[in-house]
Amino acid sequence: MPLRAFVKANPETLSDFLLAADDRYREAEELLLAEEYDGCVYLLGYAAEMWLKKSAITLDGGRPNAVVKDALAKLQDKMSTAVPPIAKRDWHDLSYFVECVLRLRDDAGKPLPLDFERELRQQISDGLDVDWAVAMRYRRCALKGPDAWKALGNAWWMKTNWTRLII
Amino acid sequence: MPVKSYSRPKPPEQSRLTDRLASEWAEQTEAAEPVILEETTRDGIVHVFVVWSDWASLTREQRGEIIMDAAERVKSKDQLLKITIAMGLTPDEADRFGITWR
Repeated sequence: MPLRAFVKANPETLSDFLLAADDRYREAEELLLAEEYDGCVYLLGYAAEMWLKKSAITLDGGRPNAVVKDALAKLQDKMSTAVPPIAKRDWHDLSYFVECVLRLRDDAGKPLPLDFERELRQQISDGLDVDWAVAMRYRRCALKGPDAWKALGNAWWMKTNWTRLII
Repeated sequence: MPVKSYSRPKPPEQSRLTDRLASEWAEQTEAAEPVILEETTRDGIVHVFVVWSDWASLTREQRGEIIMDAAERVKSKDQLLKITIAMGLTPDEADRFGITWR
């Protein structure tokens, strides 16, 4: 089946997201080694986004076979009516998903340890969410090595810690 | 007007495959398929890949649902919560994914 038709017939599930996150991260490492920094950071942002969405949806009761689009709509409904509500900039708003994770854990009576919550905010809300934007695909950003290494550090943190968000 | 909860009925094919997968998972027979691969990561998370020709006509979502429904029957709740990937593949797809399963 041609790719476009396959994608349409098989909307992404959480399982797809985890496999894709690992793939994008690995590809970003290759781009870093090749000194292709714009592409590297671009992919790292998506990888982190997928691990974050996976965490939030899982905390919201989503199983590995959950269709991401449907699960995100359900999550958005819940967060928009929460008190106080949590609003998103767009569907790539990493800080929004950080807040979703924190709220869902609080609601479940399992708040993250404070030092871990602080790390999460530093690495993602104050880190990758500041230094990455989907719109970078349409422009040359001329990022430098240190930019890419910083983003790699943020994304690596997410890669190695996302399971702690859902346990 | 009464409000009733409704969930879409699953195709009979899906129920049959769920029964079969749960049975294979519990009894671990010598059948050629389905092949159930459980990968446990360092942090105890489990990835489940099931390679099976019989579900070629089903979507990835339906296959994942079959895996999780079968897992609910053969795993404890704690084990179930550790499954983060439930990926159903046909033999061709598994080969394309680079999964060693034969």
